[in-house]
Amino acid sequence: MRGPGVGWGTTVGAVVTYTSAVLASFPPPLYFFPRLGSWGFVDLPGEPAIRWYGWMIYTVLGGLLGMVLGRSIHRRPPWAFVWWFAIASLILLTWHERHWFLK
Amino acid sequence: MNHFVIVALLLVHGLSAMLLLGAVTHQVLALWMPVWGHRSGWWHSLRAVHPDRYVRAVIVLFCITIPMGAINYIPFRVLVRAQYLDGHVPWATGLFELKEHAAAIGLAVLPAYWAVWREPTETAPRRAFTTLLAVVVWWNFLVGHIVNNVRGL
Repeated sequence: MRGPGVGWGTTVGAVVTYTSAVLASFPPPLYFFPRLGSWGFVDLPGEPAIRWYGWMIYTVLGGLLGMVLGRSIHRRPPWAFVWWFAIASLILLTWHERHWFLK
Repeated sequence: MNHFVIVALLLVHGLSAMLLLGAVTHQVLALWMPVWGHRSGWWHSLRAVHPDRYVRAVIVLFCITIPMGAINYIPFRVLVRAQYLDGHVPWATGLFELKEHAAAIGLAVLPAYWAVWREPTETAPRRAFTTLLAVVVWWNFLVGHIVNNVRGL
């Protein structure tokens, strides 16, 4: 990784994309259906599906986009921004899953 | 996927997670409680490491542990979660969802973690990102064991 903003941009891009995919369904959910061995953008009722694979694919793509954009940064913003961003993301994702503990 | 492959992958996942746990714990202890001078004893030996030498190991082990768990997620999703956890023990599913999110954010943080250890920077960013990764690794290790004890593969 070269350039002062590459690591910074990669992490920000990956965190933003993952959080957005989980909380706002943007990019749209990509499902993997393990019993059928197929992928799709539409959930099939009654069929177990894995959304996490799609989210991880988006995370990698978001990280790559962040890496490309990060190359153009000549003066890296503070690391604290990325750290707090990751913490905020974890808190929001935890809140998003609260329904499992209220059943 | 036959049962032998599932168990083998689960073992590799568990072993790499344990090595990762050890590496990142040594690193975080050496960062927060460095040892000055030569002293004996277990507690001092635990912290008397060069934390910069653990960076590659942590990154490689993180990148091995996640795919191993991701592959095993297929039988877990079908045989354990859909058939039992979602209906009978929803809090265990919730814990597992949080484990997934923590793993993803941990993976996303790795480039920043690598960069702060490569750059000539202050100790604070190194402490911040290493501690975040340590918390993620410990959380995932413990949740993995708890959920596996509730209903494993």
